[in-house]
Amino acid sequence: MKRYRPERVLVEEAVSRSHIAENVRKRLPEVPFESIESAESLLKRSKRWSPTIAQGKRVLVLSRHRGRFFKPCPAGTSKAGAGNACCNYFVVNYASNCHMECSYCYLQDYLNLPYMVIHANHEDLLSELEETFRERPLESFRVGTGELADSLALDPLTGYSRPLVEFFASFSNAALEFKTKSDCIEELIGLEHRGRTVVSWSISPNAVARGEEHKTASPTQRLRAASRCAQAGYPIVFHFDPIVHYPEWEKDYRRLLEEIFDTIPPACIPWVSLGALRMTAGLKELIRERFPRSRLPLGELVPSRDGKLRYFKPIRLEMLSKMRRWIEAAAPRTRIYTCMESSAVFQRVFERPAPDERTLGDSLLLQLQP
Amino acid sequence: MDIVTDCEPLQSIALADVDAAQRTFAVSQPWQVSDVLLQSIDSFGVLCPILLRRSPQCLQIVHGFQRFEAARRCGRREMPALICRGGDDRDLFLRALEENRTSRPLSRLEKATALHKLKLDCDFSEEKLIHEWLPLLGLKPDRYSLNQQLRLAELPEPLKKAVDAFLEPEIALRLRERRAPFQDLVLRTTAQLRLGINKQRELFGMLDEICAGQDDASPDELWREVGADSILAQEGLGPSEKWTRINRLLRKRRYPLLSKHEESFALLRTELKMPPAMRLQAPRHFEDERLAISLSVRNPKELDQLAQELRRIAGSDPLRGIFELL
Repeated sequence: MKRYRPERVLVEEAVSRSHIAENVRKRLPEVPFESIESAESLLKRSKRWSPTIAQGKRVLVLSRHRGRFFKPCPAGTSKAGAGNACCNYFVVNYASNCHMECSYCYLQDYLNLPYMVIHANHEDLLSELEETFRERPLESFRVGTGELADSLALDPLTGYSRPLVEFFASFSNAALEFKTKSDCIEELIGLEHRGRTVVSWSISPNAVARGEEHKTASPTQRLRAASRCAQAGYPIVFHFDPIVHYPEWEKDYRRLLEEIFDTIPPACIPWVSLGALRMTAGLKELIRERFPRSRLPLGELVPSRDGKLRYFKPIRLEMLSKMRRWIEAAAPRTRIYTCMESSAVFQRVFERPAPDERTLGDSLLLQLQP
Repeated sequence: MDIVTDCEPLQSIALADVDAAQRTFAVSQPWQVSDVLLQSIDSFGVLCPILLRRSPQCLQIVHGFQRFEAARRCGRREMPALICRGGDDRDLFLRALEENRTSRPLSRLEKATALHKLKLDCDFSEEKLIHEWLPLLGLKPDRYSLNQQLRLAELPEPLKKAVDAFLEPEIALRLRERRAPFQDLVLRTTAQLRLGINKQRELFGMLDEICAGQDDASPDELWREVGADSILAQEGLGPSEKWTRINRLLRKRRYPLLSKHEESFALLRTELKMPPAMRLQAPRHFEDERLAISLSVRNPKELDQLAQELRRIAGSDPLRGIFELL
């Protein structure tokens, strides 16, 4: 994996003395730091400068997030997501953008600030979560930090994971999920997590990782990191997302599953998710432009209900159903669900109706009970 | 520059004394001369003098490139001109642009050339170009639009000529990144079938992806392999029908499974032998699980007849086959 090292760091005055900013300063002693008034002013600057995606990522911005950190996962709440079988997931956006270069990453076509941004006011994030969990004691929350950024790839610089893990350890109605393609787990080892933090990896066969997931940890490195986290008592989750269709996909995914279950005991894996490759038409153009060797846009992708391009349904159904059967055979107690798929597809894959999102979400959380 | 005080008196100049290859101040393309101008100059001569500048060896056109070219093509040896005594390149270019901009609609390539020269020759900032010049030229004032214009101005000549004649700038910019055989095939087909923007996009997108999926196989080979060349060569078919058939062939190659599903659906639907007043439609790309059936009736009796037809169809094997496709 290629570890992130910015060329310069821009720090918003409001967070220049924050714990996270101090961590970054200590861990990047030779990188120049500049003070800025606000991250919003950068939006104007980036419009004037118009950096490429790669240039933008060389600048790290430490900002103060002014809006709400905690939100329902847009897959379940957006208009486009209507009709999806959802899992009652919540997200907190502690950062935005990712220095790794997955060809299929939707952030390329989504973010309007091209820089790597970390919201360094983590105390505000924790206060907001605490207030939410205490106000809604009868609800349960699975909260992820990996929507607009990789959850752990910047952890060696920020140390963001520690306060989060320690915070979630004190709540029985909530669990935190780190979602990553990195192997940056050093900060996690030895923390008091009480089983309320799940460390999850988005993982693909070697052929896909080599061709499409640039600068990420290799699948072997990810599994090695997962094994260390499992030994440290963390529940481990895998997201087979995006599942990619190519001539050898069956052989490669079966081998990947064998490697996973040979490395991590199924009892340590409370759930896994399945999601077939999908992209907007704009992203497809961007992939052709930025990653001309990528085969992903050349698949039999057609517009689906929400306007996104997905594999033609029979292809998706075959991939998702086979993956489900293979995983169930190896790990019968692990819960499986689909991500960003309709209830109708869920029903065809699992041969039962899709549960409502709260039921599905709660059933996943129950898997964490000792 | 004042045209009375800063120019020599109006005079007739010999075309041979002008170096038209010097295009410092031109926004039009060398091949660009309107038929209307040609006809007018042929009938009435050059009515409006061109503006020239003296350079050490010859006369240089400041504005009037098209009038000069039209006069040359009409076999004229002399034409009226004003010759300016001085002025730096930047001022003269701005004058030429203003003259062109206010006297006729500029083509897409002329706007692009103007912006390119304003940036590189006049050294105008991108901010100035975006906020002042793009609106003046009737273009959207944003960076994306400016970048597209600048890229358009840098296209090689064959693509510029195609943009001038029939090709959408967006497709030209994408074609530029492809190899010559691919460019040739798209240009040939687009010109021959007179494709509009959406069809140009479809043709480019499908061909591009099919070729890339076959490790950049020769586009001409692929074209023959799918049978598109024989459709293009068929006499008695109009451009629209030819495109429909070629599009179908390309689609079949690009989306084999979807095409197979569509063919099966069409076949089974025929086997249902539905009356014309009843229509059955598959969900788009077979993504949904519901079929749409529509009926059109003039009276209750017709509705009753269609209800009986519906009952017959509901129990038929072809309908079961159709549901299996969903």
